[in-house]
Amino acid sequence: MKNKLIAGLSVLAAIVASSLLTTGEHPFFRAAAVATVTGAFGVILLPNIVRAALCLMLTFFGVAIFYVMLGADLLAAFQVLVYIGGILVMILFAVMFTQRRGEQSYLNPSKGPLTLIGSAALCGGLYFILRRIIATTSFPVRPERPIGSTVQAIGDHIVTSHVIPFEVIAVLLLMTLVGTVVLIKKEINAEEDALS
Amino acid sequence: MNEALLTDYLNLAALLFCMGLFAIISRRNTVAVLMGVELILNAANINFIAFSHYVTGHVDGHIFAAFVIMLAAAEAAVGLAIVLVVYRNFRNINIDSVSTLRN
Repeated sequence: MKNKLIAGLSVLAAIVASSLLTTGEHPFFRAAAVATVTGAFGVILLPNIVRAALCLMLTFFGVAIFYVMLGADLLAAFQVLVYIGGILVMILFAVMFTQRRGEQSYLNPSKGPLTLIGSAALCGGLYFILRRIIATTSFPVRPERPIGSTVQAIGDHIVTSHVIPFEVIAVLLLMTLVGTVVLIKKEINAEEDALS
Repeated sequence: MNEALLTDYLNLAALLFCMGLFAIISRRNTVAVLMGVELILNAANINFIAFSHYVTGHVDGHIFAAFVIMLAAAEAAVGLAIVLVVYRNFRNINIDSVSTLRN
């Protein structure tokens, strides 16, 4: 009962802190920003790593909403498909493979209080410096911003002007595939040798 | 109803970046550190798309963000494979207790 009360209060505190930290007048932006920052608070603060991963999903959904608001329809689809459907599921798999029942590795302890306070001060200071820089810089914002489908433009650019990075990414993905299989397969062979 | 501004998106991306940095510094579980990296990559992507929408008007920012997403997928695959190998060798994934590459 007491634990549930503490959990509810901390969720409330995270939502209040994220609504204080995010700026913006647009109500839709504000709601998505509160969801994103609340999820990020969960990622950095929750001791249970599975709950942190589920909070990461909230953050990814919020970022996908931002992409829709910014007219990036293809990127929003990528965000949902690759991040939520791929990376998050992979993270959950890794968590479940590396946890043992009732052990510390499941609980993900944070470091000592001095390290926590120091890193919080460092990151908070960096955040306020960045906010200051953003507030004092004037950006050349265009007056009219039409929103249409970007799929054809992205496809045209990827196979014409950006074809070399595209090929490099293709080779990199192949290397990733082979490297991952080699990493895991060596372990499986070693375990089979140990068993026989 | 007034529109969301460029600086709103930049502030939000800065906040996400700093939270990801905090996760990388303060977390002890390697998977949580990888989650912090994902937060930082998302913050960079928000900046790419926001500048593309508000300043340049080209889709170049979208293409860079797509490349970042693909790189994030590759990084997560290799990182989590390494986490699994480390777990099999050391029986935990605390980032402090794993300091050698071979035992």
